[in-house]
Order: sequence, then structure tokens, then C-alpha cells
Amino acid sequence: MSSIAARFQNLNPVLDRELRQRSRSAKSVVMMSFLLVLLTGVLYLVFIATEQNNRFQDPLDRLSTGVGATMFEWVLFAELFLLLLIIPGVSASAISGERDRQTLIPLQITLMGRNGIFFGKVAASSAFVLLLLVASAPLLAVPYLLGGISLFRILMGFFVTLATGVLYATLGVACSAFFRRTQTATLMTYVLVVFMTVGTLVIIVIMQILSTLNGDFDDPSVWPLYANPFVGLAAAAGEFGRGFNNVGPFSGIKEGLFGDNFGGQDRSGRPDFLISLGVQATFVAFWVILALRKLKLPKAEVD
Amino acid sequence: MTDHQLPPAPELGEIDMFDASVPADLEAHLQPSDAIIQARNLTKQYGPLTALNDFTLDVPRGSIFGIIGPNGAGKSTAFSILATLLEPTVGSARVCGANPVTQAREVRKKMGYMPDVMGVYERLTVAEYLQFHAAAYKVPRNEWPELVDGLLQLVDLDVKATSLVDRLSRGMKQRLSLARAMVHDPELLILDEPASGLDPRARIEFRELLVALQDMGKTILISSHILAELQQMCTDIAVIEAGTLLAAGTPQSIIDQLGNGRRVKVSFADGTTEEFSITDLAGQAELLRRLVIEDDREVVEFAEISTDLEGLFLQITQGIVQ
Ligand SMILES: Nc1ncnc2c1ncn2[C@@H]1O[C@H](COP(=O)(O)OP(=O)(O)O)[C@@H](O)[C@H]1O
Ligand SMILES: [Mg+2]
Repeated sequence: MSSIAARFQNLNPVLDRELRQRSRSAKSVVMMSFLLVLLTGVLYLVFIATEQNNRFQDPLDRLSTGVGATMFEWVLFAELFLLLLIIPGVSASAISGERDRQTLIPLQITLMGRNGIFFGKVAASSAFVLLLLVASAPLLAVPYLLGGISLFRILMGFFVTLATGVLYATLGVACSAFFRRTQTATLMTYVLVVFMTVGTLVIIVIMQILSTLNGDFDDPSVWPLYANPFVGLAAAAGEFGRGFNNVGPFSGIKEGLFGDNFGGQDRSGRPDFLISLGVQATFVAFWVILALRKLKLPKAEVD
Repeated sequence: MTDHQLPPAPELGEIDMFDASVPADLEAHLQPSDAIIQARNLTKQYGPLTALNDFTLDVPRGSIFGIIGPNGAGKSTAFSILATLLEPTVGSARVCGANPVTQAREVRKKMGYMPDVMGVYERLTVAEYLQFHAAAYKVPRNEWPELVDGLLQLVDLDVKATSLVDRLSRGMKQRLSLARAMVHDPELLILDEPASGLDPRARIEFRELLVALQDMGKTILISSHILAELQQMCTDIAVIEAGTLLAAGTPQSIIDQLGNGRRVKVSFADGTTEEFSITDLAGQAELLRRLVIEDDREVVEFAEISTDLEGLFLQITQGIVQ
């Protein structure tokens, strides 16, 4: 009891304040509803589509036809997509917003220190990511009830999505410390998200073209794709040797990139999702270092 | 630790208030009641612009020290350096016994700072706003209720404890901002133009509040571009212009130094007026005798120009801007 009280006493003041303010705003409820409505739509569309596909089969067979797995993968795919859309908008104003409101300097001259301020903001943004994921968790349970997918995969999908969300929330907070204006910080966070998702794909395509031009038709390297959050999630939530009729995106990506049919080696024992999270975390850490430098006081120039 | 050795303050005219011949660090150890701020040769360069030029100043403990200067004079720049926000290009300082550049945290524990702009949060009550800053200053949670009540009473906002901060009037926000700067019971308050934008009544209330704080033993460093704001309550005043400190001392000593006697305005029968400087009553009689008898002019009015600080301020600062 007293240790719980003591723990709350030590709750980061910035986190404490942000949670309090957020509970009084309709913004997070609106975002949550937006996410839930879209994900429910995806779930329904995938269900209809797979039903259409399977309509000539015996109803009893449908349980084993990967409807559940397909739905799970598409819902999770849509969830990561929407999170990457929402998170920059929420996190990239974390510190620049205080600057705009002229509350940053009074905060910086307290005894919190730049780490306390920065990671308080990261915790507040991450708490919001967690809230969104928990709220939409029932949508991941529906595919489980339809069968054809293990609880382990669902949990892996959930936690790797959470970790990815936290990383990009951190990236947003870092940008909001590094760039002076909220608009610039938000734009730059989106640019970096697009770089990690679409940019890594473009790099791969260019690498493939170059290797083909060089007359090298062997297994082209795919390592830049480890930086791609969808690839990391696919490694965690996709399956090798996917079930019949599983037309989910993640198993496709996983087999294509990491399967034993590619490069002739079985990589099912390798934690590709951890490598991918590690690569992304390194990228984010680079921005965190830049951000913490910007928050150092006293500084040579005021902005 | 060599940065402890600060050079003594050079004399500013004839009105140096304190004995600066003792080495600064020694002084701080032997006489802890003396200067709480020691600024030595602080210079801040923004590219080609010198915002602050060789700023040397001692602020005695327990004083209300006013820095007066027009907009752009360098007041905020000087305060930002002292408040651990900005590094000087040249020079060093000691605030509450610590170096604001290398020992910022030590300074922050003992100093409260109110910037010239004040921000408030949305969706947060007045009491929560103070609790938040108390938490940020690591004040133990069980002390918050008493602390917040006490501060709100002090700044006369106790009835607003549960109001949202962004709904307060400007004067109230300013007083809340002052309360915020005091959540960790600092011994020194650095207030950057706290009364700007306040109506006269709020200004008087704010002034009374600062005097009450001085009675509580706090040292207050305050800036303004309006002299009347500072003249009545300050124990010490420094005048700054274009980054350069022009004078420092008690309000009276500045008048004595810069007035160097008095000025009179003489109107003549032909409708012209002229101004003359005089040193004392003998000089006044001599001037009158010379004008009337030697120059044979028809004097219709002979009046002393009152040398209040405002006039003096215009006098000191003229010619340096524009
Ligand atoms: N960040 C900055 N970059 C460039 N010039 C600045 C900056 N901050 C202030 N200045 C300039 O420095 C001078 C002093 O400014 P300031 O200290 O704010 O004066 P005051 O507070 O007395 O009005 C002004 O000429 C101002 O334009
Ligand atoms: Mg200013």
C-alpha cells in the first residue's frame, strides 16, 4: 500500500500532468473511436472477402481455411498503418507545443532535467499508444475465436505493434524537441515514417535493379528492409508454411523475406523481429540524442 | 574550481554601493549576507549584435534591485544568463553562490525566475498548475497542500484555486506565474518585466506583493522599461542602454550622480526659453544675476526642472539610441 503510494509519488510530473490534461480532452476519445471504426471496417471487409472466396466449400471446412489468420493479419496491418498515421500528429507537438505556449522555459529551469522532461513526454505519448492498442484488442480476439491462429501469434503481434508504436512516439517527441516549430516537427516525423516504410522499399527496388544490371541474379540483399516497421511486425506476427487460404499480408512478407525458399536457408529459428526492432530503435536513438542536445541549458543561442 | 575567483566589480561612477575591493569569492564566504548576484563583464554577442556589453553588477542580498532600460537594452539577455538559460559570450557570474553556466542545478534550487512571457497550460486548474511545478522542483507530495494554499493566499488567488489557468485575467496569470517561481522557496527572484501589460491597479498590487516578499527575506531582481514602476519600491537601481550599464546605485544616488546639481528653465520676455545647469543655490543666484544684470535680459519666469528619475532617465539615455 505505502509502496504503491510511494511509487505514485515518484511518477514523472510531466507524465502525471499530461494524463490529467488528456483525461479532460475529447481528443483521445475521438482518435480512439476513429481507429476502432476503421479497424472494424477492415475486419468486416476481410471477413466478407474470405467468405466470398470460400463460399463453395463445406461450411465445416471453413474453420481450417485460414479465415481467422487472414483477418488477424489484415487487422494488425491496418492497425500499424493507422498508428503510424496517428502517432506523429500526437507526439510531435509534445515539446514544441510547450515552446509555443511558452511553458517550456519555466519547466526547464525546474529540477526535472532534460531527461526527466523528455522521457516524461515519451511516457505520455506511449501511454496513449497503449490506450489505443488495448481499446482495439477485442478486434484481434475475433479472429482468434474463428480459429486457425494461435494465441502466441496474437500476443506477439500485439506486443511488437506496441513496441513499434512506442518507438515512433519517441521519434515524434524527439522531432518536437529538435525542430523549433510544431508544424516542422510534425512534418519531419511523417517524413521519417515514410522513409522507414516506403523509403526502405524504394531502396530495395533500386538495389534489385542495380544488381540485375550488374548481371547478378542471385539472392539480392534485403537488409534495409529490417528498418521497415511492417517487416518487423511481419517477422513477429506472420507464419512460415501458412495455412491454406491464409491470404494475410504478414505471412506473405515473412515467407518472401525470411522463408527457407529464399536463399535456401531456414531462418525460422532466428528472431528477425528483434533485429528489425533493434534497427529501428537505433535509428530512433540517433534522433533522441540530437533532441536531448537541443534541450541542454544554458545554451549558446536562444531560439 | 578556478572559476570561483571573480574579479572585483569596477566602480560605477562614484556611487558604488558596496566594497568591491575584497575578492568576490572570499567575500561570499566571509559575508554570506552580501551580494547574492555577482556578474562580471558579461557580454552576449548575437552574431554582429552585442546585446549585452561588459555587464558588471552586484546585487546585495535582501534588496529589490531594479534594472531599467528601454526595449532592446539587453535586460532579458542579462536575466537569461543569470537564470541559467543562456551562456555568455564573455564573462562569468555567480548566482546564489554558484556558477549559472557550470552549476546550473545549484542555481536553480535557490532561484526563482519569471520570464517576460508567461505561458499557461490548458485544462489545468490553478492548484494543479502549482502542484505540477512543485513536483518538478521535487517538493515532497505531502507538502503540496500547505504550500499551494500558502502561495495562493500570498498572491491573493486563493478563491481561484479550482479555476482553469487559461481563464485567468492577465494580472492573475502574472501573480500565478510569480507563485510558480516560488514553489521551491527560492532566496532570489529574477523577474523579467513582470508588471508589463498590467493595469494601474494590478501594478500597485504587484508592487505591494514584491515589498511583502522582500520583508520575507527574499532578494528580488526586477526589470522594467517604465521607470515609475521601479522608482518607488526599489532599494537599488541600475540603468542599462544598448547593452551597456550606465549607472547603478540607490535611486537617490543616481539622481545625485547624474543630476550633478539641478537644471532650471528660464523664460524671457521675447518668448524664448533656455535651460541651464546649476550646482547649488549660490549657482542659481549667480545665474540670475548674470542674466539680468550682465546680459540685461528680461526674465519672466525662472523655474527649477524637477529631477525625478524619469527625466533623469531620458537625460542619461539620450544620444545613445538613435
Ligand atoms: N535570440 C536572439 N537573436 C538575436 N538577437 C537577439 C536575440 N535575443 C535578443 N536579441 C537582441 O538583443 C538585444 C537585447 O534584447 P533583450 O535582452 O531582449 O532586451 P530587453 O529585454 O531589454 O528588451 C536586442 O537588440 C534584441 O533584438
Ligand atoms: Mg525583455
